[in-house]
Amino acid sequence: MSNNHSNNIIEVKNVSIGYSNKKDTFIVSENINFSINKGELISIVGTNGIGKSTLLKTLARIQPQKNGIILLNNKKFNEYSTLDIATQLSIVLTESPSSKNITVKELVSLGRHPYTNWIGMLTEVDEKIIEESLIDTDTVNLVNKKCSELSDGQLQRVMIARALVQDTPIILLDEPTTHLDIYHRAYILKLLKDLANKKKKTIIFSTHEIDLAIQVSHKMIVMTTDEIYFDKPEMLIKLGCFENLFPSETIEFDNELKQFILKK
Amino acid sequence: MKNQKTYRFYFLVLTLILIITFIISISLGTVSIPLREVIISLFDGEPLKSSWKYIILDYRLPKAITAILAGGGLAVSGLLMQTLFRNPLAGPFVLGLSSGASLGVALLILGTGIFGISFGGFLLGSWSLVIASAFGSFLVLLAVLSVTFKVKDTMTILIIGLMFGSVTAAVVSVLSYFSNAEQLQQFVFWSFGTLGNVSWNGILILFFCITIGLWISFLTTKSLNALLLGENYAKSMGVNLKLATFWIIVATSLLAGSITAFAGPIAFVGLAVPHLTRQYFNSSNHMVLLPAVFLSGAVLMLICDTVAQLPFIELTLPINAITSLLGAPVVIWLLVRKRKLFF
Repeated sequence: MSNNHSNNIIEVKNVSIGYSNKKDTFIVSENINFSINKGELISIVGTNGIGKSTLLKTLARIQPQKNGIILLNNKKFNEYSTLDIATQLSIVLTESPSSKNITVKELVSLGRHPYTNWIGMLTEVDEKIIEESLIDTDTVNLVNKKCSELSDGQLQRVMIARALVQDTPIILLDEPTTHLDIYHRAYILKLLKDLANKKKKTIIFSTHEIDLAIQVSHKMIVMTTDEIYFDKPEMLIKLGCFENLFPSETIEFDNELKQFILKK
Repeated sequence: MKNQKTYRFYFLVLTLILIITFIISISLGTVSIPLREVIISLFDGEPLKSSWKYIILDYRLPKAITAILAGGGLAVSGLLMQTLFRNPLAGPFVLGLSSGASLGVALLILGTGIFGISFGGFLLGSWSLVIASAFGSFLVLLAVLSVTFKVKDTMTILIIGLMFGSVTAAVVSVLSYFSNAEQLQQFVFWSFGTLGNVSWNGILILFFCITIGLWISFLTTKSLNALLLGENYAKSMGVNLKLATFWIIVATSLLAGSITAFAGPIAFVGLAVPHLTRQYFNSSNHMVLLPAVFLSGAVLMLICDTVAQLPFIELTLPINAITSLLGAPVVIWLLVRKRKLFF
């Protein structure tokens, strides 16, 4: 137990992640170690197929970990009930909601699910939290729209609003910036940074926007085939983690500019 | 989302329409009876002809009540399946539930002759039909659902459901081939679908099954709402997926199974009504949709039944044909208008 870190909210020790079918277990990545403090904005980067989504889904307890221990508030992950977990972490996945007919207000209100009574009645407190989240994500004017009528950027904000409504200390997001233009990518990342700084939310997200992630994240998890690095962005740059991330004949990382550039 | 007042207004209008269609349904039929006399008969008075009272109370009234229960119940089971399978095309008929129920009933009616087992008169009574048909639809639903755990693609699930339907239909035709004319006739009439053959006792059983089915559906509304976002989101919001899925299946097979047992396989109501209801209620909240879908289903079935009776002509069409004739164009119209079916 790491009682010396009182700020510590998630601790991952020697964890292997992967998926299994009837016959085999496929380990995507192993020996993962990191611990995350309250109010930190953490990004997970790495090449396609390296296991970013798997790691995120393991942290969301959608997929079970294959080995090792995950501690949430110094308590073992699997000791939490489904309902307890729902009050600790909320998720924003790449999959869009199954129902396209659902209105934004209905969708966002669903976030109160763990707290409402058996018929899902919203109390005044619930309504207030919903309204706040809509304001924070700038989605108030969308409430009467249906999901099918939203742009990708709007939908992403709505899904973040739903996660906020769930009122959990931790929010996990799987590639929240995909399909978005540069403005909306920056907008979403800035929103996440604000939530971490002002509301003290612990936010973990996976992304391909390494340049932007370096700018906003408190710490980063860099996944490579050989090793998994976890540190502050500037330390990771010093270590040269990003240089070996991709085959160097096509792009390389410029330590001065803190971004990738095409090789001529 | 509309406010409570709009919903209340809609519900009021729906209930009014239900009452009107109910009265129309019992006033029209092969024998024409003046409306005044219909109402007198209903309230236990003495109409001009005593046979009128008999027609109203022992034929038209049970038929209208069966229509309400069957239409509402099928529509609700369609709603549950569309949410559970996250597929706008799901419904008791499409996913093979009705075929499963047919198989159960076929085994009961036709199988008794083939296997030379005599269960006595009791087994062909109302209860045994319900049990056989509910069991049949329950099995098919379980089979379809066990596939959904492996296959995530909803289109594939739908095709698998259709395949299950084909297999059960094939077994039914094999059974029909080997059974005698009398049993075959009994089964064929059942498969046309009819609302008029349910006795007061039968209605009591049907009412009992539908009430339980609706009550269970009502208890699952919160999980159903969460499922609108998909399984992973539902789970992340604290829904016990296995338990919720189980109860939704129980409710669906109870509703679809008992209705199919009494009224035969009735197509399109389960598929079309939830979509129609979503059109004018403009909500995805099952707390609102569930009663709305039930009322709309009941209204639609009463209308279909009135059409099927071909008022003033001494003929009655099979209800299954009418629901398909009315339901299929509705689905096509929705598809053409919106280009895509959402749920």
